Amino acid sequence: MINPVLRRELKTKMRTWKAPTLLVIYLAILAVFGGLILSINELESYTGGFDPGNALTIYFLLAGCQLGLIIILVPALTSGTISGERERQTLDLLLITKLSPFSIIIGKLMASISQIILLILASMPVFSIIFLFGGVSASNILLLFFFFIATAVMVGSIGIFCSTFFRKTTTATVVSYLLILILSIGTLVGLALLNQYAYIVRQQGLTYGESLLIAGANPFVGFLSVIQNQAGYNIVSDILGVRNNISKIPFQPWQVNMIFDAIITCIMIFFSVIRIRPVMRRRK
Amino acid sequence: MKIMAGLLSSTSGNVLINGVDVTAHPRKLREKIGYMPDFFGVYDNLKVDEYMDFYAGTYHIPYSERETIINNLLELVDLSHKKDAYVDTLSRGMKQRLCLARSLIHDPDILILDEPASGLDPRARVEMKEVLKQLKTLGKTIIISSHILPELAELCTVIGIIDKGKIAAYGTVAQIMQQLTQKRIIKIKVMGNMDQLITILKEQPNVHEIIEKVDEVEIEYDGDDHSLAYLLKNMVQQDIPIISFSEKEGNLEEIFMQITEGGESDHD
Repeated sequence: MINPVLRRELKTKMRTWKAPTLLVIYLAILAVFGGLILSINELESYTGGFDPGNALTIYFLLAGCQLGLIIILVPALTSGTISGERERQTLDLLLITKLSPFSIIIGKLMASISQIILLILASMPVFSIIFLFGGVSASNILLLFFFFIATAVMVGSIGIFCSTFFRKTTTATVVSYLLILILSIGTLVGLALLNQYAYIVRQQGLTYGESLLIAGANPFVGFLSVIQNQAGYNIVSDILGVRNNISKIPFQPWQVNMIFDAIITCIMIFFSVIRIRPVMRRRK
Repeated sequence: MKIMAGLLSSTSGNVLINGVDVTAHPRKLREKIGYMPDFFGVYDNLKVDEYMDFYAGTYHIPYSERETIINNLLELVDLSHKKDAYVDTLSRGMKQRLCLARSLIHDPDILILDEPASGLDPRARVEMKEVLKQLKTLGKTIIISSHILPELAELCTVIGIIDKGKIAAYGTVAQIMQQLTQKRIIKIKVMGNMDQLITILKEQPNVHEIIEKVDEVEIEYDGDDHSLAYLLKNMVQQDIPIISFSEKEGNLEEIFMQITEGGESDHD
C-alpha cells in the first residue's frame, strides 16, 4: 500500500494551479538562464557562432542554476507541511489514526521530493540542448541527478523539522531558510575564518581533511566536486586550498557531502517524529 | 477529551478504556476509538469519497473493502449525494457529519465526540442527533461533551458534570436530578373545580408546596414512587376527575447551574 499521506498529497497538489505554475516558472527560469549563457557564448566566440567547446561549461552553469532553484524551492515546499496541518486543524485527526508519526513525516517528505523529481525530469529537454554537443555521459547525469535528490531530501528534512518545531508556518519557513543559508554560505565563511585562525596559531592553514569536515556540509561544494569529477576543473581544490591531485585523497567532497546529507536527514526525521508524537510514552 | 483520545498526556490519573491504559498503549486503542474534535479542518481540493479513502488508508483498510465501507458510512450520515463534492465546499453541518463518518471508518467501539453540536444550525443539530441515536442502536459507546444541555438529556444514559476540573456530579440524568432536588415536581390537571383536589393535597405529608395555575396544579413532592402511586390512587378513589398526572421533566440546565453554583465554570 502506498503511504496514504503521500497519496493524498500527490492527488491534491496536482489539482491546483500551483503545481503547473511552479513547473512553468521553474522551466522558464532555467530556459532563460540557458538562453542567456548560450547568447553570451556566441557573442564571445571569434566566428560569431556557437563554440561547442563551451558546451560543458553551459551544462555546469545550468546544473548549478538547477541546484540553486532546488535549494530555494524545497524549504518553501516542506516548511508548511506539518505546521500547515496544525493551522488547518487536521493534524490531530491524523495523529489519532493508526498511522505512525514516522509514516506521516516520511509521506510528507516524499510528497515534496516527488514534486522536485518532477521538476528535474521536466527540465531534461533544456539540458538535452547541451547534450547535442556531447561531452557529458549518462553516468555523469545520473550521478548529478542522484546528488540533486540527496540534497533535496536533506533540505526537505530540515524544512519538515522546522515545520514540526514551530507552530507557525511563517516562522518555520524563515528558520529553515536561515539554516540553509548557514549551510551554503555560513560554512564557507566559517572555513575562511578557521583557516585564518589556523594560520595564526600554527603558521599553517587547515589540512584537506579539516577543511573537508566543514566544507563537506556545503551542498554547493558537493556540487562543484561532482562537476569537477566530470570535467577535471579544479574549483573545489581552490576552495579547499589543496593544489595537489585531489583524486588521490580517500574521500571526494561530494562523497562527504552525501554522507553529511544522510546523517542530517536521519537526525531531522528522528526529531520531527519525536515532535509530533502526541503522548510521550511513560517510562515503566 | 483529548486526553481520552490519546492526544494529550494527563496531569494526573489514568484513562482506562476497556481496561487498557490510554497513555501506555496509545496505538492499541486507536483501533477502538473514533474521535471527533470540536474544531477540525478539512483538506482543500479533496472530494468527499477521497477524503474518506484517505482516512481509510490511515487505518490500513485494504483498497478492496474501502468502497463498501465508505458508501455505507456516507449513507449513514446522509452524504451519499455529496460524494463527488469537494470537502471544502460543504456546509458546517455536512462537514461535521463527514467528520463523524470519518471517525467511524475503522468501526470503533467507542466514539469520543467533542462538542458535536457546536456551531450547527437547528436543522443540522437535529440531523446530527438522529445519526447519533442510530449509532447508539448499533451498540456503540458514545462519549459526548456538550454545552448544549437539553440535547444531552435526550441522548445520554449517563452524564457527568465537570466543574473546575473536577467531576461535580455523575450518574443517569434521573439520578442526578434526584440527588440534587430531593423534591420532584408533579403536574396535575383536573376537569372543573380544583378546590377538592387542593384540599386533598394539603393533607398529604409529602406535598410541600402547591402552586395553582390556570388549569393545573403543580406540587413539590419528596416521597418515593410508591407513595406517589398511592396518592394518585387516593385521588381517583375520591372521584376527582384527573385528566393528567405527570412528573415535570427535569431541566438539565437548572441542575447544572445548581451544581456549578453559578460561579465561573469550565465544563467538558
